[in-house]
Amino acid sequence: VSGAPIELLSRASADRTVSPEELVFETPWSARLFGLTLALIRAGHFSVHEFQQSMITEIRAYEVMGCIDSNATYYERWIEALLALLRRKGTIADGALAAMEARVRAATPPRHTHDHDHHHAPQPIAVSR
Amino acid sequence: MSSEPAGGKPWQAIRTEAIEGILNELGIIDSGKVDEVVHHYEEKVGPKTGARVVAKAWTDPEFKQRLLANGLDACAELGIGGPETELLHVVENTPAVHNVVVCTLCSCYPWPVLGLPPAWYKSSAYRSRMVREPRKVLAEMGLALGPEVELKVWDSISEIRYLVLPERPAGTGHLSEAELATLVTRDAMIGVAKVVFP
Repeated sequence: VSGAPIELLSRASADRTVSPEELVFETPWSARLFGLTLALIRAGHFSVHEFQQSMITEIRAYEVMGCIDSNATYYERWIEALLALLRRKGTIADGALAAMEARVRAATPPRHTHDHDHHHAPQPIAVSR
Repeated sequence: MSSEPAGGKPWQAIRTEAIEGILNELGIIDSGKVDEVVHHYEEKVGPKTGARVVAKAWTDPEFKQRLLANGLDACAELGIGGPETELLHVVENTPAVHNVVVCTLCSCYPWPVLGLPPAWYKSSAYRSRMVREPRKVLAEMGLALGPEVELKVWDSISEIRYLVLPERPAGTGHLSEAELATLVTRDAMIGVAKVVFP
């Protein structure tokens, strides 16, 4: 599962951008996710260690069958780790997520369909009509 | 990698927005604080931050001793740090010893000093293979170590984060601290490359 040559990974990431060291987040949502998590840590809602444990659990479960081979697959695990931690703490109740996702979708206008995310393209956090 | 439904946002963006929306409505977090973190990591912190630390250590032996003794305190002297890192252990490369950092269980990384890790650092392949066959992995990444060099692999577990202090390349005696900093790469501070002077 995890025997892929590293060389391929680093070359693949270098190919995507002229300056891989300058591109911090590949997608707006991964930037938001990282910022949200650190803001929660800074506010004392949970510790780095608690989040780390949640990541370890999530990644271990994922790697039974899957393989983290991109920023996207990695930050998808991060979403699930953050959700799991917030659920365990009772912050996000069952059902609350689906309801809020429906609201976000309803507030999101259709947009053109490239098969990639624009790097740091400005996007409204919500749209009210 | 595309999971974007036609005409909509990818599910990851929807879910992240939804989590933030819930936390906003609960009054747990406000989006301004999230903006601050994102801005800090996009604009203020990155491999150049760590490069400053390395160049300082190369040119100031007393600073280097303090850095090796207590990484966070020494970085704080340069105004570098943050609540996300509790312990920073700096490991020094020499002609006889090469250090490399991995996080086998997840993806721990000294964010306040190096910014965000590259994709390969988080990959299943790097995290498992760097422990099993580190010399082979380093060779694949372009760093062939002689058999006489001892290789130490550090696992970022628990609260400890690692920073590799690379060897200062030969022929750089005339360079200033600021010029030296421009030579230091992220990969060298993880330990998968050496610093080279053209």
